[in-house]
Amino acid sequence: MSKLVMITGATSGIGLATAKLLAQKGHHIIGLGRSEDKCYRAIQEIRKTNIHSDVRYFIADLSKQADIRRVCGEITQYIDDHGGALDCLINNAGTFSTFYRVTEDGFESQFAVNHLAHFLMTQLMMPKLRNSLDAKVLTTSSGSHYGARIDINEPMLTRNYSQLKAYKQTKLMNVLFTYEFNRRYEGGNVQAFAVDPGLVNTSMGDKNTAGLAKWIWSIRRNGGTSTEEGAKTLVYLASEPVNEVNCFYYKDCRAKAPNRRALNTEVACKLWDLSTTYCGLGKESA
Amino acid sequence: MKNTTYTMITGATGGLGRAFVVECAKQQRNLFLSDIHEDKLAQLAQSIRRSHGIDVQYKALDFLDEASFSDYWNAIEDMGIQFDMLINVAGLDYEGSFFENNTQDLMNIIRVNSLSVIGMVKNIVQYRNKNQPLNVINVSSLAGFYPMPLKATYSASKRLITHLSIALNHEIKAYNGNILSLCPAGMATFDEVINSIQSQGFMGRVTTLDTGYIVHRTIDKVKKGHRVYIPGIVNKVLHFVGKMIPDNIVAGLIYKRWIKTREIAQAQ
Repeated sequence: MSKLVMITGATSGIGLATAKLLAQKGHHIIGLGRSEDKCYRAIQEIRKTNIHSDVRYFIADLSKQADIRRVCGEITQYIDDHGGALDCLINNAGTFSTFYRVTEDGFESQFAVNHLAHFLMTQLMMPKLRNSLDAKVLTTSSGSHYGARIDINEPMLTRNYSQLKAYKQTKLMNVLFTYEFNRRYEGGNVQAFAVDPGLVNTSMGDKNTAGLAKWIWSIRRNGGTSTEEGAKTLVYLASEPVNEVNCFYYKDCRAKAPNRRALNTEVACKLWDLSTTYCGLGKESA
Repeated sequence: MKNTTYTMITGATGGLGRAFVVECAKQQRNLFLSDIHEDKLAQLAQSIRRSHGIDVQYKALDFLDEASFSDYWNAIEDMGIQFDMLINVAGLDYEGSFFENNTQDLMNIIRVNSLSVIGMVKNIVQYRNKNQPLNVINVSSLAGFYPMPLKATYSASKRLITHLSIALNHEIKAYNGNILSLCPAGMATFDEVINSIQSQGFMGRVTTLDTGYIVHRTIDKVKKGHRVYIPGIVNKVLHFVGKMIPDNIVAGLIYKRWIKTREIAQAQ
């Protein structure tokens, strides 16, 4: 049965590969990208494999919460015109930055894009996810979350920024968010999963980086798998029924235990509340 | 009792301005923000209010428009608020050599970078909280220490800020004030700067420091009475060596370096 799947960061890398593979299976794709040109090229790429693909792209800069709200409004309208239910949201967009940078909303860039954007987008799309019989929220995390710690009082590393620490921390936030989502919405029709795609040969480490970090990534990425390989767990979870109980972290299409710090209810709860405040959501996300 | 003392930040929606906003918010300082982009000010103010629980006021300010400057200070008068800190971040630069740029643009660099500082420092003293020290941070640049071909107007505008700040320190003591001139090298605050740092190679990377760290240290230093802050050991060494060498030779070396950097950037 064809599903309506929404994917962020869908113009390149794992996001584009996921969109292509899901379109090949006949699913209806809503993609998001920052650049009109890249969105256009992504559509062409998807239609190369299936000329009849049902695909629509929207443009948004996920570092800006106003842009996220705008595009979610547009997508909600689009979904209303196409059955009214969203079956799967894939929070895949991600960034890496060598330097401490503050977004227009006043948040550190990796924290804003890799965590807050996913949180806000999921909350804004919840009414449409609830309309589906069996909806899923998938978030692209990373194995790097195993080595991460979170200082909940200083999630933006304002005075002591470290590019890797910031990245790993946001990936742990992805898993904490997924854990807390399932805890809060237990018994509902929407289930959340965090996905480790493994080391994938993408261009993510080339953007917003300089010096040693750029050089290391140029070497390290060569040891990574193809984007199609990296996308397979997302594709599996988006398109297949998942029956394993209490498993929400997946790698290679199999459930896996996440970092035990990702199962800390107190931290997960604080992160949720902090994100709610930072996104200006109030009680609507409780 | 409601705290009606504020920190004023100009150029608040730019990369460095936002970093100062976040640091001050973290210190629970009430903020009064200005920038040419009113919509961006509104967005930032709203987000900072809810994420840090402080009061954030803002008003658009265009340093190229005298009426805007008057309106700005009239609004402050009407609001009846006081300040204990001013952070002058607003700045302007154009790529290209002196003769490639048009005259108006070059004059605007001086207006926004230098003349604005004169106007802001002069006015803030009048609206200071007389019960507290007044701290002023003027964002200058390492470029202000050298005559810098291909950035001649920019470096001259920053030299004015540094010299003005050092000199005014003696006068502002009478108002319980202190002025610090922040003189950083590259600040990786947006994509174009990161690309420029990349094209400068090793020197670009070692002279570029973390913005969050710099803004925290800058506020710490102005409160301790420092007058000039050059972030980073490499930049301090460059400044020291630069002082030992005649200006004309320094200008020649910088010219060669910038020409090479431009060629690399164009090739990319």
